[in-house]
Amino acid sequence: MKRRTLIAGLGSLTVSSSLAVGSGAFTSVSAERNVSVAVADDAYAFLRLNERGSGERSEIDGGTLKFNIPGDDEDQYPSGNPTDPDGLGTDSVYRFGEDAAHDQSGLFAVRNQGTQPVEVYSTQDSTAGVPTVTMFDVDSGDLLTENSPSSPLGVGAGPLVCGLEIDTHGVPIQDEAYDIELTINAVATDGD
Amino acid sequence: MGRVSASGVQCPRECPNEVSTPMQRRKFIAGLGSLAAAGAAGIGTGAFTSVQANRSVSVSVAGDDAALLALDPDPDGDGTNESENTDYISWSGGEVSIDIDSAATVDGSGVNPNSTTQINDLFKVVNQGTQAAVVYVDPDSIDSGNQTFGGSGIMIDPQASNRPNGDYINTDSLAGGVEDDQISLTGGYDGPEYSAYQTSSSSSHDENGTDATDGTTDDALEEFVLEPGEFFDFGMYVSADDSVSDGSSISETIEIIADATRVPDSYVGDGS
Amino acid sequence: MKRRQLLLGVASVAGTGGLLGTGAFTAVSADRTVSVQVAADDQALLALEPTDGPNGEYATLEGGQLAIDLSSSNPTDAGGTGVNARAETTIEDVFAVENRGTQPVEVTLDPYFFDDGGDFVCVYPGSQSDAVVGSGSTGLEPVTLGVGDREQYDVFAAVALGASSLGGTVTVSADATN
Repeated sequence: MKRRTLIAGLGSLTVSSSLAVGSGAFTSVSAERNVSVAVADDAYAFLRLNERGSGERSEIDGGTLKFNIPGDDEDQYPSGNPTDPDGLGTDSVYRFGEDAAHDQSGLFAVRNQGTQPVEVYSTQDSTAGVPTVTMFDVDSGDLLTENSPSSPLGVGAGPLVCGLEIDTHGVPIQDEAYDIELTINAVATDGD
Repeated sequence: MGRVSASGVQCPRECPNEVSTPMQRRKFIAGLGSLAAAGAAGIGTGAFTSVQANRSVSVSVAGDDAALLALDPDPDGDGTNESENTDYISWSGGEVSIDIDSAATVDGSGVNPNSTTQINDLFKVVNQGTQAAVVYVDPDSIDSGNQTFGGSGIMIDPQASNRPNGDYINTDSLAGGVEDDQISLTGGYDGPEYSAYQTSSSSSHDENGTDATDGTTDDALEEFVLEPGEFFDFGMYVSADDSVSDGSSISETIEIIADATRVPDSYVGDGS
Repeated sequence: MKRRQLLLGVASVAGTGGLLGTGAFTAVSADRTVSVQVAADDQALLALEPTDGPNGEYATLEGGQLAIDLSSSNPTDAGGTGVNARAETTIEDVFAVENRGTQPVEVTLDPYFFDDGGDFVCVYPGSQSDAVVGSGSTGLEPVTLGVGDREQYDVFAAVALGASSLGGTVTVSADATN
């Protein structure tokens, strides 16, 4: 800015000025903002998963839901006169809608602690030579699959009470249990 | 003749054979590593949330004699078969099959033409679960041409006898080898609610002498109930009409179903 | 920046005479007011704010600053306090960046990826979700926002190995394109 000369004695020219920063545009902004993400146990997470029923077919292990069919304590049921099976028969389809004590419906419950209604279903990456596991809605009996998921489960709505259907066709009998990874999916229905 | 193999099923209704579709692998940003995990369906535009949680399911598959729905000729496990007709069963990889043919360890190699053959107690069907269940054979699992009602040639119908539950007894003019409490596991190919009762023959009655045609569907279903630990004898009724020729055979895969949801509300354990 | 020319007018000399003597000043120090407003993120020239949709719940404007918070300090109305373990969570349209200036700008987030062992969380523009979730992905590109334009950002978290928390500080930068 050119310096303004002020002639002494002649009074001052008062000219208002402002800092020339252009006409309101910014050329760069840099702002630091925080991102924090916590991992919660299944009972507290956005997709809330709880086990149901006494017996260890479904249980919480290390904060996450886990299944053992038959349960680790299956040899205690029915109480007083237990049956103690070794496992499922081969070439069969089994449905487990309750844990071994049969004191509560469902093997597990799904609740929505997120922000949008979600459709829930299960998937299993690889089924070759291992049991095929699919979740089902205990109240309707419907299998919940990618092509036919649950109806939308609202935020904070009552639990979706679920069981597991296990298909052992073509699965060899063996002493070791099969360890299967079941993926429980919750996908928001396209709201907006 | 043919071989009949049994598979155990526990379903409240028809179970479709769901086959999982292959998952799409999701690749992450190049250079930052990829997370090989199941992909979600349809990530598109529009706000939505998706969660895919991997949870482990550990499943044991046991031999037929040790499974939740056990097919076992030696239920007390003492090494001596309780079942009487184990010559007609064979084992492969822990799974039982019924061989009423040359594979049977008997001198004969099949049933007679133009005859009926009754072979009971091939093995026991044991409920090793934790709930009472209705145990029967799905009529639709047997080819219609091989069904004793409406079929021809060689026809079969699975049978249950020495049953722990229900009141049905039939002592009038039974064919040879038929037990007093024997019923068709397919319900005469109409399903278990039509088996012991609701027949037109007045020779059927309950232990009080009441005509079986007065029975209800619940009464019929009770005949098929096995409480945990209980069992009945599994047998096979075979009919060969006069159209069959020597050496002909059939092969069927029958579906044995144990369904806890079909136990009628009226059923009260008999305490045995 | 344009320099402002100032034309100086000199009034007619009055009084005793026109000659400037010695003693003219050589320096002037003039204080002028500069007025700068600091606005909350959602009112700023580069606006950063939670979206109006349901997933805006996962972002907060505490003390006027945007934060993405998927933890027990920002539980959802339904009581969720974090992502599931051994799971992938995708949340679209959590926050938005809007250009309320007068020039187009390019917006970048740095870093946009936070990891802990094999677990990670990524923040990315919705228009580039394929880069995160599709196959054959590339890096994230800056987002060009014309005046008045707005981009909504998504969050993706993958937890396989047991990290209990993920995250950090993101620098949101906007640079004028011309």
